[in-house]
Amino acid sequence: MRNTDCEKTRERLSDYLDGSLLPQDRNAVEEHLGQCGRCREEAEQLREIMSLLSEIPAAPVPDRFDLDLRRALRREIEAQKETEKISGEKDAAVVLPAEDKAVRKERKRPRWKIAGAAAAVFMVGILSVAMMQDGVGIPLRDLAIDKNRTAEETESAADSGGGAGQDQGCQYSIVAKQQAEEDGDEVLRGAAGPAGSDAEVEAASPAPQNSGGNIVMYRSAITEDAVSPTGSGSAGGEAAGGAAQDQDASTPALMATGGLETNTVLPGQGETSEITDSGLSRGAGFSSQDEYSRACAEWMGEYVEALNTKDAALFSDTVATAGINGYTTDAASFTMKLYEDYLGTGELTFRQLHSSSIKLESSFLIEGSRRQVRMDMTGTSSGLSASEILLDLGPWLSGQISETDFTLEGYDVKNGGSEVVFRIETAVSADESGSDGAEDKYGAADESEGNETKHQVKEIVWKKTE
Amino acid sequence: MADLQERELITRAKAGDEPSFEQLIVRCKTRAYNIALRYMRNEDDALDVLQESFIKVFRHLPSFKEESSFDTWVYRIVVNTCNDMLRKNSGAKKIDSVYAGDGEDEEKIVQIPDRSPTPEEALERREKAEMILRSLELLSPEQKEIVILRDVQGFSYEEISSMLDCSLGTVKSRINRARLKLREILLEQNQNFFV
Repeated sequence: MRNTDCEKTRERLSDYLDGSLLPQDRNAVEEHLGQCGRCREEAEQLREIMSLLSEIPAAPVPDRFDLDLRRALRREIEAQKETEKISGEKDAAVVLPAEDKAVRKERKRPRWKIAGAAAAVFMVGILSVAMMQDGVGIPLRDLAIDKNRTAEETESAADSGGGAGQDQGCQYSIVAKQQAEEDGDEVLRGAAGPAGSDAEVEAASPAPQNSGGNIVMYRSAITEDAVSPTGSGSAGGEAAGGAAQDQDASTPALMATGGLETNTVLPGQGETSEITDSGLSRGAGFSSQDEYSRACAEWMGEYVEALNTKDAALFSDTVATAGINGYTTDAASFTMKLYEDYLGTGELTFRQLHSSSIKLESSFLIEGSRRQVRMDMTGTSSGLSASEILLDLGPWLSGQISETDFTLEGYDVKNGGSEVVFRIETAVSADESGSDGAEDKYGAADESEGNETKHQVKEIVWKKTE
Repeated sequence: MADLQERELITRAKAGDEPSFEQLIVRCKTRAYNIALRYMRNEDDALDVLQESFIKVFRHLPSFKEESSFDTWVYRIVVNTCNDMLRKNSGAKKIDSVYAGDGEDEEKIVQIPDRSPTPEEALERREKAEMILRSLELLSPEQKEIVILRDVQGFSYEEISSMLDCSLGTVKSRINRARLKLREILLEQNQNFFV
């Protein structure tokens, strides 16, 4: 059994070996090492590990890389040019990452409210989501966004079709094409050029195959389990599973390199297929010539996208460049809004810990009792992570759950764009087994079994207010 | 702060000048590749990561605010891309025990030229280094990456803190735990490893 001095020395060993201890601490460590053979041996062994690893020389980059990169860059440049060209002069589409932040903030937010949770306990905190699997999806940031579409255009486009996002913040129209209506489908459509008629849209956007001329999207399962372009492996993807399975073999055409998902969308590639489910959702398989529209507000889509990608560098840049205000008004506020809406009225306060993490605290009135909730959101190398301690909330009691991971598994736009269903996947390691037996008023939660990790997918529904 | 030449290159690259972009990345290409190589453990995957990372760099260059060093920004993207790919691959292939595996594959992964005084010593150090690299797979992903970045690649704590977006304290405690864990693993495999 090691004594306290040994433990203290052990904790400081790396600092000591790296030469970063303060003089008094270094002296203390050296004094102990002089007296304790065991710690001395451990220090020497660590030193050897560091030395051996540091001797590993840098491997040269294989020659073939330069040519491969040049080709990939050319494809990327072409794709970007095509995206700009297709969006047209009037409604210049932009690719999200290049978008000016100030422009984003100018967009008005739509009015959405939670329409009753479809799920049990709602977990806030949107984590970085497993990046879309090969050929399954394309990060939303690569999709053209019709950012300049005005409310008037939205309305007129809507008039020509069916239900539309009338909200001034919603910049996309949902046009229900007659054929689609007959099939029980709804089509999300965006304009490449002037708003409005189907004919114009179709002329501007070459009809994808199998879609009858409609711009369609299908859901790509964004789950850890999805391992094939045509499958969605998780339970949460069930609703979209049928859609995902509609993805055909064309999706691999979107991949620039074998085995590696690509963010490049090339014109003419990627067929889309119509969803025959009750809802539509974002998905892969479209080409950069296709326009699409979103039922939810553009800002929501952006934030979902920002949280929906594992490109933490992008998000980190957003954090770093936007500063706390940008962070709080973007992902954090979106996340907390989701949470707040679910749980009811609440007052949120934001407190920044440092540039890449935020501590969020809120209190809610839940069935007459004030509950306190805390959450830390941190930018990590793997994306945005959130830890939450829920107090007095159903079976997820404090002490039972120490840390919960949340993943925005995906979202579906339904009912002509008036509804968005978020699928939140949680992975919980319960510290204790079981609950106190009290009925969970918010729905059943997974039974905890010791330290087992449980995965579950919950749905949160947002409905647009009139 | 980026030097003038780097800033000029960044400006031109942001404007879409491909040769400027290539000049920018040539400076950090080898180090970026080696980060990927240590993460991915094989050349093909490392090259895939490298290419994808540079495409991301190119794509996101307009949003690079030049508050951090360009190289650090690139390495951060590489680290993230590595983690993405490892996570994606984890369902498809398992990391086998370090005792499994083909001797030939191991030779291919790590090439350590001889820099020691005697051939015997060189071979021994090479074998030990390779064994440590293999043992990294038994660490948690966070611990593995911190050892790669600190002990293999030689990044400073501050650079790592920036790349991984975590505090300096977290970097330090993580590296300490990782090294101690690595030592345990090595001793379990061979109690005479350090003899």
